[in-house]
Amino acid sequence: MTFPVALAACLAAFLCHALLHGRRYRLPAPPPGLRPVAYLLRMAAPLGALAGAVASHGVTGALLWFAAASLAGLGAGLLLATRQY
Amino acid sequence: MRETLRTRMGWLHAWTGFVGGLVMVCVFVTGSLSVFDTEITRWMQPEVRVAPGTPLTPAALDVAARMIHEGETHGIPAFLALPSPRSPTLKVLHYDGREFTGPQLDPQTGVIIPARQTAGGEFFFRFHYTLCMQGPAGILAVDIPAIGLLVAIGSGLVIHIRALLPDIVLLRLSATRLRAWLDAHLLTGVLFLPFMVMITYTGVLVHVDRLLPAIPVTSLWSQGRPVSRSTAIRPPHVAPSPVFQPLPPLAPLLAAARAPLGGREAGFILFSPDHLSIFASDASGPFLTRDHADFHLPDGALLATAATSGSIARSVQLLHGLHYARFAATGLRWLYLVSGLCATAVIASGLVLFGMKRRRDRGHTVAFRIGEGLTMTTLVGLPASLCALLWASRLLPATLPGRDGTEITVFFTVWGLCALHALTCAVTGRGLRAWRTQLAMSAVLAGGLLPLDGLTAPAALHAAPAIHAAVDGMGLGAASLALYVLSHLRDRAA
Repeated sequence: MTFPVALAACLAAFLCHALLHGRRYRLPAPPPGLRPVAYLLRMAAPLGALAGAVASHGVTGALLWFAAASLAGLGAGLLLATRQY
Repeated sequence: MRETLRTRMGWLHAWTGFVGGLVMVCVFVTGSLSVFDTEITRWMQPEVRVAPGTPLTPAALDVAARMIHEGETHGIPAFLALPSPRSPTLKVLHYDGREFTGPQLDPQTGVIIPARQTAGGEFFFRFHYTLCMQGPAGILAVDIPAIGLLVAIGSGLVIHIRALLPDIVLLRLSATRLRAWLDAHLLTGVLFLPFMVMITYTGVLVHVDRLLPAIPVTSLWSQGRPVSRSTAIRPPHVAPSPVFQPLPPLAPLLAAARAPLGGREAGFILFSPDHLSIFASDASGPFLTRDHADFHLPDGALLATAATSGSIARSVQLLHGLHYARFAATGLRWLYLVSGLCATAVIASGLVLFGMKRRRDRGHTVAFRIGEGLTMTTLVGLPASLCALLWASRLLPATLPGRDGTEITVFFTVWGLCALHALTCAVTGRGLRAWRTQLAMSAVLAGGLLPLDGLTAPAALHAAPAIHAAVDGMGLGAASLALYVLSHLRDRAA
């Protein structure tokens, strides 16, 4: 479960990041109330996933988290690119 | 001032990236495949149909012990690789000056499995860190470009530092072709930066003694030639001819070794004239240790346990373990493979960008065209020749003497022909045509692995379906990618 959770957390964080840089990613600006939530999710979700992964699997957990973060970023990039395409 | 630094770093990034990248693509592709070297060997030896998890019996161990003892008395030192979930056979291996080779035994009966000789996944591993060159030259030929890659990563970070975080998932496919390629290079480069730095740094560290030999500091100030630690003066020692003691039953020793090894599984057994050493399996954990328990011969009494401790030694063991990934379960191995291929994509896109940026001004020069030919040889010729190796493993007669060497000859012949074709076409201004031809050839060779597998080894498909599905599926994936790029090149030509 560590990898899917880390993947989902990192994907959410990257999408929040894109939302917070809406002009750069050609996305509509988020409502003012959502911005703090997006900031919080962008920071807390990956860190929480990292803490959970390392606590439960040690070195392997850290490797799983890094792989999940990389693949989530790639997924977010492709998702945003195909949306613009 | 800042712009000057970025310009200079741009030059450094481009040239170290291009020169080092040509080698590093080969290193990363074969390194990524080496994560599954044992499984690739099993694909290349369809005669081996032992199910994973087949229990190891004392009888099989005794057969192996007898073979090893006979070999030792004939002056052939061998060691015993024990079955593991990845490789279920018992292997009696010796070093033939190039690789570890020897018969595989059934772990239940001890009967020799008549498997064909093959270069196997071991070839990918050896190519990954030596480019199949003998001696330290091969290791240096990989390590120096690897350091160049670390320089390219550092300079790339300086160039891109301002947009590193804001643009972390930015990919503009609808922009100009150059912009889209650059975005793809940056996207994968930034996201897989931790993996690339980790794997390159630990890879350089594995053979760092070749680059920086351990010379005692005091010798730097002493007169005369520095003496390295490994060649330091030692008292003359004349070894008496060894008398090999008979081996006791190995099964009780394996059970007895478990406690001194901290409950870890045994990986392999080394034999000396008067004792044997049982080593902990590399799959035991992320620390790649050489911890072992020694037993006296012929009575099998426990002599000593060797376990490396200390923070520096443990750090080095961890760095080695992270690079070799022998502890990783199948899922993590797949992540290593995917990350390795994405890192390859970063370097490959960098090579393409290097050419794209210079084509308008210098596309007519011979130097540029040679560079394009070399890029083509690396990006398309290498995968094609790797597929040719897999084809050779199935199509060459199973009983052909020196079969493994012939497979390697096929690999280098195909790669050499690809290089000749790419360079000839590129220099004569037909580069695009050469890209299309080689991509089509790669697609045929990679996509053909599935029918080849089904036609030449249908029984093996049933014995190890996951391994065959993975290798054949990777072939189909590579073929699809080649066809996708080919269709884009056709559009461009039209």
